Amino acid sequence: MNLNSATPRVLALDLRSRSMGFVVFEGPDELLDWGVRSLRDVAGRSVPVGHRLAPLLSEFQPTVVLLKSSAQERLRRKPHLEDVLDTIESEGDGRIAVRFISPQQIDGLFHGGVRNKNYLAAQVAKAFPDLAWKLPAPRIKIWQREHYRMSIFDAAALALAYYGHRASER
Amino acid sequence: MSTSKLTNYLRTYRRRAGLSQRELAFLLGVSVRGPVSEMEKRRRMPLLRTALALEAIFGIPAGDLFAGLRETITSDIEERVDQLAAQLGSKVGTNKRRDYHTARKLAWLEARRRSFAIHEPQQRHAASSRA
Repeated sequence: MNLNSATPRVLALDLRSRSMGFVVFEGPDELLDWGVRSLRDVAGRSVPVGHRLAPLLSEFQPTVVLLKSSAQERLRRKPHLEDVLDTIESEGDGRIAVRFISPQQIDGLFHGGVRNKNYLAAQVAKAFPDLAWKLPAPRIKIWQREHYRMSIFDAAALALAYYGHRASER
Repeated sequence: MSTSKLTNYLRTYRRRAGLSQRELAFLLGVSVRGPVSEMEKRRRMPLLRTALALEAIFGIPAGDLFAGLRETITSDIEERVDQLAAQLGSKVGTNKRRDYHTARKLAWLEARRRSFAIHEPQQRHAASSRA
Protein backbone atom coordinates (compact mmCIF):
# COMPACT_ATOMS: atom_id res chain seq x y z
CA MET A 1 0.00 0.00 0.00
CA ASN A 2 1.33 3.32 -0.99
CA LEU A 3 1.67 5.49 2.08
CA ASN A 4 2.34 8.66 0.17
CA SER A 5 -0.67 10.79 1.06
CA ALA A 6 0.11 13.59 -1.38
CA THR A 7 -1.92 12.02 -4.19
CA PRO A 8 -5.62 12.79 -4.24
CA ARG A 9 -8.13 9.99 -3.81
CA VAL A 10 -10.40 10.08 -6.83
CA LEU A 11 -13.82 8.62 -7.49
CA ALA A 12 -14.40 8.29 -11.23
CA LEU A 13 -17.98 7.83 -12.40
CA ASP A 14 -19.38 6.61 -15.64
CA LEU A 15 -23.04 7.59 -15.73
CA ARG A 16 -25.46 5.59 -17.81
CA SER A 17 -29.21 5.87 -17.93
CA ARG A 18 -29.73 2.64 -15.96
CA SER A 19 -26.48 2.23 -14.05
CA MET A 20 -23.38 3.93 -12.79
CA GLY A 21 -19.89 2.47 -13.05
CA PHE A 22 -17.31 3.63 -10.55
CA VAL A 23 -13.69 3.17 -9.61
CA VAL A 24 -11.75 4.59 -6.68
CA PHE A 25 -8.04 5.31 -7.00
CA GLU A 26 -5.51 6.58 -4.50
CA GLY A 27 -2.74 7.45 -6.91
CA PRO A 28 -2.35 6.14 -10.46
CA ASP A 29 -1.24 2.67 -9.33
CA GLU A 30 -3.53 2.20 -6.36
CA LEU A 31 -6.91 0.87 -7.35
CA LEU A 32 -9.02 0.74 -4.18
CA ASP A 33 -12.46 -0.31 -5.35
CA TRP A 34 -14.63 -0.71 -8.42
CA GLY A 35 -18.13 -1.74 -9.35
CA VAL A 36 -21.43 -0.92 -11.00
CA ARG A 37 -24.42 0.46 -9.12
CA SER A 38 -27.83 -0.11 -10.66
CA LEU A 39 -30.10 2.91 -10.89
CA ARG A 40 -33.15 0.68 -10.65
CA ASP A 41 -34.70 -0.77 -7.50
CA VAL A 42 -35.85 -4.38 -7.18
CA ALA A 43 -39.22 -3.48 -8.69
CA GLY A 44 -37.48 -1.91 -11.70
CA ARG A 45 -38.32 1.68 -10.76
CA SER A 46 -35.78 4.43 -11.30
CA VAL A 47 -33.64 5.37 -8.28
CA PRO A 48 -32.06 8.84 -7.99
CA VAL A 49 -28.36 8.57 -8.70
CA GLY A 50 -27.68 10.53 -5.50
CA HIS A 51 -29.00 7.59 -3.45
CA ARG A 52 -26.32 5.37 -4.95
CA LEU A 53 -23.58 7.98 -4.92
CA ALA A 54 -23.91 9.22 -1.33
CA PRO A 55 -22.70 5.93 0.26
CA LEU A 56 -19.67 5.91 -2.05
CA LEU A 57 -18.78 9.46 -1.09
CA SER A 58 -19.06 8.77 2.62
CA GLU A 59 -17.19 5.48 2.37
CA PHE A 60 -14.23 6.67 0.30
CA GLN A 61 -14.14 10.39 1.11
CA PRO A 62 -12.66 11.32 -2.27
CA THR A 63 -11.02 14.68 -2.86
CA VAL A 64 -11.92 14.64 -6.54
CA VAL A 65 -14.87 13.22 -8.44
CA LEU A 66 -14.29 12.63 -12.15
CA LEU A 67 -16.96 12.73 -14.83
CA LYS A 68 -16.92 12.57 -18.60
CA SER A 69 -17.02 15.99 -20.17
CA SER A 70 -19.35 14.66 -22.84
CA ALA A 71 -21.88 14.20 -20.05
CA GLN A 72 -21.64 17.91 -19.32
CA GLU A 73 -22.27 18.80 -22.93
CA ARG A 74 -25.27 16.55 -23.25
CA LEU A 75 -27.00 17.63 -20.10
CA ARG A 76 -30.48 16.90 -21.38
CA ARG A 77 -29.52 13.35 -22.22
CA LYS A 78 -27.92 12.89 -18.82
CA PRO A 79 -30.54 13.89 -16.28
CA HIS A 80 -28.47 12.25 -13.56
CA LEU A 81 -25.68 14.78 -13.79
CA GLU A 82 -27.42 17.54 -11.87
CA ASP A 83 -28.32 15.06 -9.15
CA VAL A 84 -24.67 13.96 -9.01
CA LEU A 85 -23.43 17.53 -8.65
CA ASP A 86 -26.03 18.30 -5.95
CA THR A 87 -25.09 15.17 -4.01
CA ILE A 88 -21.39 15.98 -4.21
CA GLU A 89 -22.09 19.50 -2.98
CA SER A 90 -24.26 18.36 -0.07
CA GLU A 91 -22.16 15.34 0.98
CA GLY A 92 -18.78 16.99 0.59
CA ASP A 93 -19.57 20.39 2.08
CA GLY A 94 -17.79 21.95 -0.88
CA ARG A 95 -14.54 20.06 -0.18
CA ILE A 96 -14.89 17.64 -3.07
CA ALA A 97 -13.70 18.95 -6.42
CA VAL A 98 -15.39 17.89 -9.64
CA ARG A 99 -13.32 17.47 -12.79
CA PHE A 100 -14.59 16.75 -16.27
CA ILE A 101 -12.35 14.61 -18.44
CA SER A 102 -12.60 14.98 -22.18
CA PRO A 103 -12.34 12.10 -24.67
CA GLN A 104 -9.18 13.80 -26.02
CA GLN A 105 -7.53 13.47 -22.62
CA ILE A 106 -8.37 9.76 -22.60
CA ASP A 107 -6.98 9.40 -26.15
CA GLY A 108 -3.79 11.05 -24.92
CA LEU A 109 -3.26 8.19 -22.52
CA PHE A 110 -2.31 5.84 -25.33
CA HIS A 111 0.20 6.54 -28.02
CA GLY A 112 -1.60 6.55 -31.31
CA GLY A 113 -4.96 7.12 -29.69
CA VAL A 114 -7.71 4.80 -28.57
CA ARG A 115 -8.90 2.57 -31.39
CA ASN A 116 -12.19 1.64 -29.77
CA LYS A 117 -13.77 0.97 -26.39
CA ASN A 118 -12.76 -2.67 -26.38
CA TYR A 119 -9.14 -1.69 -26.91
CA LEU A 120 -9.36 0.86 -24.11
CA ALA A 121 -10.92 -1.68 -21.74
CA ALA A 122 -8.27 -4.27 -22.63
CA GLN A 123 -5.49 -1.76 -21.90
CA VAL A 124 -7.04 -0.90 -18.54
CA ALA A 125 -7.39 -4.61 -17.69
CA LYS A 126 -3.74 -5.12 -18.62
CA ALA A 127 -2.67 -2.31 -16.30
CA PHE A 128 -4.88 -3.57 -13.46
CA PRO A 129 -5.10 -7.36 -13.39
CA ASP A 130 -7.65 -7.13 -10.55
CA LEU A 131 -10.08 -5.87 -13.17
CA ALA A 132 -9.17 -8.41 -15.84
CA TRP A 133 -11.84 -10.94 -14.89
CA LYS A 134 -14.46 -8.18 -15.15
CA LEU A 135 -13.54 -7.55 -18.76
CA PRO A 136 -16.55 -8.47 -20.89
CA ALA A 137 -16.26 -10.22 -24.21
CA PRO A 138 -16.02 -7.70 -27.07
CA ARG A 139 -19.28 -6.72 -28.69
CA ILE A 140 -19.41 -8.63 -31.96
CA LYS A 141 -22.26 -6.90 -33.77
CA ILE A 142 -23.12 -3.24 -33.77
CA TRP A 143 -26.69 -3.90 -32.64
CA GLN A 144 -25.62 -5.90 -29.64
CA ARG A 145 -25.98 -4.12 -26.34
CA GLU A 146 -22.79 -3.12 -24.58
CA HIS A 147 -22.10 -5.12 -21.46
CA TYR A 148 -22.92 -3.17 -18.29
CA ARG A 149 -19.46 -3.88 -16.83
CA MET A 150 -17.83 -1.81 -19.59
CA SER A 151 -18.67 1.24 -17.48
CA ILE A 152 -16.07 0.12 -14.90
CA PHE A 153 -13.40 0.36 -17.59
CA ASP A 154 -14.70 3.70 -18.87
CA ALA A 155 -14.54 5.05 -15.32
CA ALA A 156 -11.02 3.65 -14.84
CA ALA A 157 -9.92 5.36 -18.07
CA LEU A 158 -11.18 8.67 -16.67
CA ALA A 159 -9.09 8.22 -13.55
CA LEU A 160 -5.97 7.25 -15.50
CA ALA A 161 -6.42 10.23 -17.83
CA TYR A 162 -6.77 12.50 -14.80
CA TYR A 163 -3.56 11.24 -13.18
CA GLY A 164 -1.76 11.33 -16.52
CA HIS A 165 -2.84 14.91 -17.12
CA ARG A 166 -1.85 15.84 -13.56
CA ALA A 167 1.62 14.29 -13.99
CA SER A 168 2.18 16.12 -17.28
CA GLU A 169 1.25 19.44 -15.66
CA ARG A 170 4.04 19.08 -13.09
CA MET B 1 -3.74 18.51 -2.56
CA SER B 2 -3.36 16.02 0.29
CA THR B 3 -5.59 13.13 1.23
CA SER B 4 -5.75 11.52 4.63
CA LYS B 5 -5.73 7.75 4.57
CA LEU B 6 -8.94 5.79 4.84
CA THR B 7 -9.53 4.22 8.25
CA ASN B 8 -8.97 0.80 6.74
CA TYR B 9 -8.27 -0.85 3.40
CA LEU B 10 -9.91 -4.18 4.14
CA ARG B 11 -12.29 -4.02 1.19
CA THR B 12 -9.44 -3.22 -1.20
CA TYR B 13 -7.30 -6.15 -0.05
CA ARG B 14 -10.27 -8.51 0.09
CA ARG B 15 -11.30 -7.67 -3.45
CA ARG B 16 -7.72 -7.92 -4.69
CA ALA B 17 -7.65 -11.42 -3.24
CA GLY B 18 -10.94 -12.18 -4.99
CA LEU B 19 -12.57 -13.24 -1.70
CA SER B 20 -16.21 -12.70 -0.83
CA GLN B 21 -17.15 -11.26 2.56
CA ARG B 22 -18.48 -14.67 3.55
CA GLU B 23 -15.20 -16.36 2.63
CA LEU B 24 -13.18 -13.81 4.59
CA ALA B 25 -15.53 -14.29 7.54
CA PHE B 26 -14.87 -18.04 7.30
CA LEU B 27 -11.11 -17.45 7.35
CA LEU B 28 -11.57 -15.25 10.41
CA GLY B 29 -13.52 -18.02 12.09
CA VAL B 30 -16.82 -16.16 12.01
CA SER B 31 -19.98 -17.84 10.75
CA VAL B 32 -21.65 -14.72 9.26
CA ARG B 33 -20.36 -11.98 6.97
CA GLY B 34 -21.91 -9.14 8.99
CA PRO B 35 -18.80 -8.29 11.04
CA VAL B 36 -16.65 -8.16 7.88
CA SER B 37 -19.12 -5.84 6.19
CA GLU B 38 -19.27 -3.59 9.24
CA MET B 39 -15.48 -3.41 9.49
CA GLU B 40 -15.24 -2.55 5.78
CA LYS B 41 -17.78 0.23 6.22
CA ARG B 42 -15.80 1.50 9.22
CA ARG B 43 -18.73 0.99 11.57
CA ARG B 44 -16.86 -1.51 13.69
CA MET B 45 -13.30 -1.63 15.00
CA PRO B 46 -11.72 -5.08 14.99
CA LEU B 47 -10.47 -6.74 18.14
CA LEU B 48 -6.71 -7.17 18.38
CA ARG B 49 -7.14 -10.88 17.60
CA THR B 50 -9.09 -10.07 14.44
CA ALA B 51 -6.57 -7.42 13.35
CA LEU B 52 -3.74 -9.95 13.73
CA ALA B 53 -5.80 -12.56 11.88
CA LEU B 54 -6.30 -10.12 8.99
CA GLU B 55 -2.57 -9.45 8.97
CA ALA B 56 -1.95 -13.20 8.73
CA ILE B 57 -4.57 -13.66 5.98
CA PHE B 58 -3.42 -10.87 3.67
CA GLY B 59 0.25 -10.82 4.65
CA ILE B 60 0.00 -7.06 5.13
CA PRO B 61 0.98 -5.37 8.41
CA ALA B 62 -2.08 -4.41 10.46
CA GLY B 63 -0.79 -0.82 10.45
CA ASP B 64 -1.09 -0.75 6.65
CA LEU B 65 -4.50 -2.45 6.64
CA PHE B 66 -5.72 0.16 9.11
CA ALA B 67 -3.62 3.04 7.77
CA GLY B 68 -6.05 5.82 8.65
CA LEU B 69 -6.54 4.48 12.15
CA ARG B 70 -2.78 4.31 12.57
CA GLU B 71 -2.45 7.93 11.42
CA THR B 72 -5.05 9.05 13.93
CA ILE B 73 -3.49 7.09 16.80
CA THR B 74 0.00 8.35 15.92
CA SER B 75 -1.06 11.97 15.81
CA ASP B 76 -2.95 11.60 19.13
CA ILE B 77 0.12 10.08 20.73
CA GLU B 78 2.42 12.81 19.42
CA GLU B 79 0.06 15.37 20.93
CA ARG B 80 0.16 13.62 24.30
CA VAL B 81 3.96 13.25 24.11
CA ASP B 82 4.19 17.03 23.73
CA GLN B 83 1.82 17.50 26.67
CA LEU B 84 3.84 15.09 28.84
CA ALA B 85 7.11 16.83 27.90
CA ALA B 86 5.60 20.19 28.85
CA GLN B 87 4.33 18.78 32.17
CA LEU B 88 7.72 17.26 32.98
CA GLY B 89 9.55 20.42 31.92
CA SER B 90 7.53 22.48 34.33
CA LYS B 91 8.56 20.19 37.23
CA VAL B 92 12.31 20.57 36.68
CA GLY B 93 14.03 22.41 39.56
CA THR B 94 11.52 21.52 42.26
CA ASN B 95 13.33 18.56 43.79
CA LYS B 96 16.96 17.53 43.18
CA ARG B 97 16.36 13.76 43.34
CA ARG B 98 13.23 13.96 41.25
CA ASP B 99 15.03 16.21 38.75
CA TYR B 100 17.32 13.32 37.81
CA HIS B 101 14.38 11.09 36.89
CA THR B 102 12.58 13.92 35.11
CA ALA B 103 15.70 14.70 33.09
CA ARG B 104 15.95 11.02 32.09
CA LYS B 105 12.35 10.98 30.93
CA LEU B 106 12.78 14.23 29.00
CA ALA B 107 15.95 12.88 27.37
CA TRP B 108 14.06 9.72 26.34
CA LEU B 109 11.20 11.77 24.89
CA GLU B 110 13.67 13.92 22.96
CA ALA B 111 15.61 10.87 21.68
CA ARG B 112 12.30 9.30 20.64
CA ARG B 113 11.28 12.43 18.78
CA ARG B 114 14.63 12.54 16.96
CA SER B 115 14.58 8.85 16.04
CA PHE B 116 11.02 9.16 14.70
CA ALA B 117 12.01 12.20 12.66
CA ILE B 118 14.81 10.12 11.09
CA HIS B 119 12.91 6.86 10.64
CA GLU B 120 9.53 8.09 9.49
CA PRO B 121 10.57 9.12 5.95
CA GLN B 122 12.51 5.84 5.57
CA GLN B 123 9.50 3.82 6.72
CA ARG B 124 7.30 5.69 4.28
CA HIS B 125 9.75 5.02 1.46
CA ALA B 126 9.94 1.33 2.37
CA ALA B 127 6.17 1.06 2.48
CA SER B 128 5.69 2.79 -0.85
CA SER B 129 8.31 0.63 -2.56
CA ARG B 130 6.54 -2.47 -1.18
CA ALA B 131 3.31 -1.44 -2.89
